[in-house]
Order: sequence, then structure tokens, then C-alpha cells
Amino acid sequence: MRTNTLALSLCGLLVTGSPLLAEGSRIVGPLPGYRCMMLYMTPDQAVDPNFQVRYYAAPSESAPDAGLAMAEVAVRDPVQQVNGFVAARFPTGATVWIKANMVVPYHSLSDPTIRCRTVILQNGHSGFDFYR
Amino acid sequence: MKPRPLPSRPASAALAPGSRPRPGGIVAATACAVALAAVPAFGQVPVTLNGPPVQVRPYVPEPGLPEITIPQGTPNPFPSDPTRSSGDGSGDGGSSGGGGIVASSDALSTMLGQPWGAAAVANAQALGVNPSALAATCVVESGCQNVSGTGSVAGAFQMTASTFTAMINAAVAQNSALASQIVPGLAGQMDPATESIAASEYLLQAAQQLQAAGISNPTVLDARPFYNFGPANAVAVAQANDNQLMSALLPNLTPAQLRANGITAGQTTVGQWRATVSSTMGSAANQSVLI
Repeated sequence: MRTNTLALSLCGLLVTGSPLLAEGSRIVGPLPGYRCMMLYMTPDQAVDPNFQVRYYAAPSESAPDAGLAMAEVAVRDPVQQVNGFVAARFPTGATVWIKANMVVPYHSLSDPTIRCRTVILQNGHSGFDFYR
Repeated sequence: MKPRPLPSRPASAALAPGSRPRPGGIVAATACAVALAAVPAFGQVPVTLNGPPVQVRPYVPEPGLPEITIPQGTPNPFPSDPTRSSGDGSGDGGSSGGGGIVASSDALSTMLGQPWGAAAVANAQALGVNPSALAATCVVESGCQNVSGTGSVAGAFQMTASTFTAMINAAVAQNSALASQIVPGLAGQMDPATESIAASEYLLQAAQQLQAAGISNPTVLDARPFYNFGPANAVAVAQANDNQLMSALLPNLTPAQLRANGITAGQTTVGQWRATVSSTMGSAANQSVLI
């Protein structure tokens, strides 16, 4: 399986050339004051387009919608919990709130040795870095 | 006047450009055809269509009408020049996306080779989606073949029943004119033209989510994680560097789910995954999702 994947990858590189290979934003440095967490969802929910977890502008269900949460969440560290919500950082930098029971510490189901940390990207957004 | 099917013209009967066939030649060809028809047939041989459907090419002019040339294959509405850009080309520096193009592609030719291909192109356009993006999706998912899959996954675009239903409803809400073209219920999942509407809507939502995350002009390759791994995982993969591990970016997926997508946990990098997908999609991979 791995051999096939690598062979296909090399083939793809030859066929498509490097311009097709996307280039992510460079990591500038760590983002202190936040911890890497992830959405609490089952494997089936993860690929279900109808399963969406939203950010709120304030720690209340009646607060305005502040965007869609992705799999990884930058939660303020130490955790700031209010009314069942925890404070988090939207990638653009805004403080948002997410239901506390919807986030768990980051852990990869398929690769438990991987660790995650919050970082600042070259474009000024926050992001995540993965390491062992 | 309705075109009449004409017998194939043997190569030896080729006419010089601009010349007209002589009646004597037609008589001789007819006699030859009759003679050939006397040879016993050995039954029909099934032929799999590979490429655009063959069209009638009349070479005998209709008396009183000007000569008409009909190009072979389904007309491709997009230019073949892949350098023609539909956007500003600037993209977003913070992601993999930006600067995609809208043009013809190998994938589009493959989809147009299907009986439902032209309808799928129209459906994509009706929702503002680049037909090449839709075509690349069916190429990757099924080779544009209407096949069943695991569980509720089915059709040329290999959507789950729940996703198909949600996207069909969203598509009709956005463009009510599409309602008349839909095979109702889950039967539509196995009708490629109907499923193309749901798949187009899914691609549209993928592009919109990526745009909200700062990827101004998402490419087909950018949108692939959304289609493959769900909305929650889409942005992280689209924005990741090539050297990151897919298993790190998809923490909620099991090893079996990753294997089903050709990913080995702890080994397959984003760059390898992108290269594999790109090689399957061909020239459509770096085109814009949106028209």
C-alpha cells in the first residue's frame, strides 16, 4: 500500500509538476496563551457535512454566530470557561466561544504519538503545528 | 430535415477537400455494402464508449442546402488554453489556494464522454461551479462510472445518502430551476445527472467555506479535502504544508478511514496525498472551483 502510494506520488510529481502542489503558509513562531484541542466528534460525524460546530461571539447560545469550527481548535490557556463555553481564538485573531463539551485535548485516532501546538503563521493567522 | 445515418466511408473512398461525390461512386459503394452485408454476422460485440460520443458526420450535401460541418464529439464549452485565467490570480498567500483557472481539462473530456456528461456540465454551471471541478470529482471518485460503493455511498460521484439528500435540497433552494431535472428520492443518487447537482452544490459549499477561511480563489485540489474528509477537516488540509502528516491533520478519522483514502497513518504526507490526487485529476487540479 505504501509503495503504491509513494509510486503514485512520484508519478504525480512528474505529471503535474511542482506548481500544482499547494504550499501552506509558513510558521513564524509559537502562539503562547493557547492550547491545541480538537472537536469532540465521532469518525462518522467528522465526514458528515451536516455535522457542524459553530463558534459564538459570546459565551451564550443566544450570542451571534462567529463562524464554523474546524477539527483543531485553539483554546485559551489557561482555560477560560464561562456558562458552559470556553474561550478560543478564531484563525484571524478574534476571540470566540465554543461549547466546552464540544472540545477535547488533541489526539490523533490513527497516530497517538503526534502532538499539536498553536502557532502564528506568516499571514498573521493562527494555525497548528504537529510534531512527535 | 432529420439527419439520416449514412454508411461508413472506407478510407479508399476519401474525397479531396471541397470535392463532391459522384453518383457513380455512390452506386459502387452501395453495391459494395450489399456484398458485405451478405457475409454472415457473428453477433454483436459490446463496445465500451471511450471518449466523447460519436456523432453523425454527413459528407453528402443535402440538395439545396449549404454544406454543414459538424465537429466530432460533444462540444466543449470551455477554451482549451489552460493559461486563461478567470480570476485575479493573486489567491491568498496564507493557503494553498488562489489563482485557479477555468478551462477545459482531461477530466472534463472524460465526463463529457458519458451519456449524462453534458447535463452534468449544465448543472455545474447553473450553480456557478466550474464543470472541470465537477468532472475531476467524478474521475477521482469512480472514473465517472455509475457504480455502487460501501454503505450508503453510491453513484458516479460516490456521495453518501445523507450528503446527497442534504446537497440536493440545498441546490434546489439555491436554484429552483434545477428541481425539474431531479430524479426524486434516493433513486437520484444512482442517476448521475441528478447526483451531479448534489456534487456541484457540495463543491460550491466547499469553495465558500475555504473562502471564509481566507483562501480567496480555491482550486479543485484545495476543495478535495472538503469532499473527501468533511467540512471540519477541509481547511486544515487545504492550508497545510506539504511535509505535514495527513494523520495529524485528520485526528478524528480512524486508520481504516485513512486507508480507504490511500493514506497510511504516520507516513503519508500532505504533499504525497496532493500529488496522488493531482495525478488522477490531471489538469483540472489547479483550476478554480468557482466560475
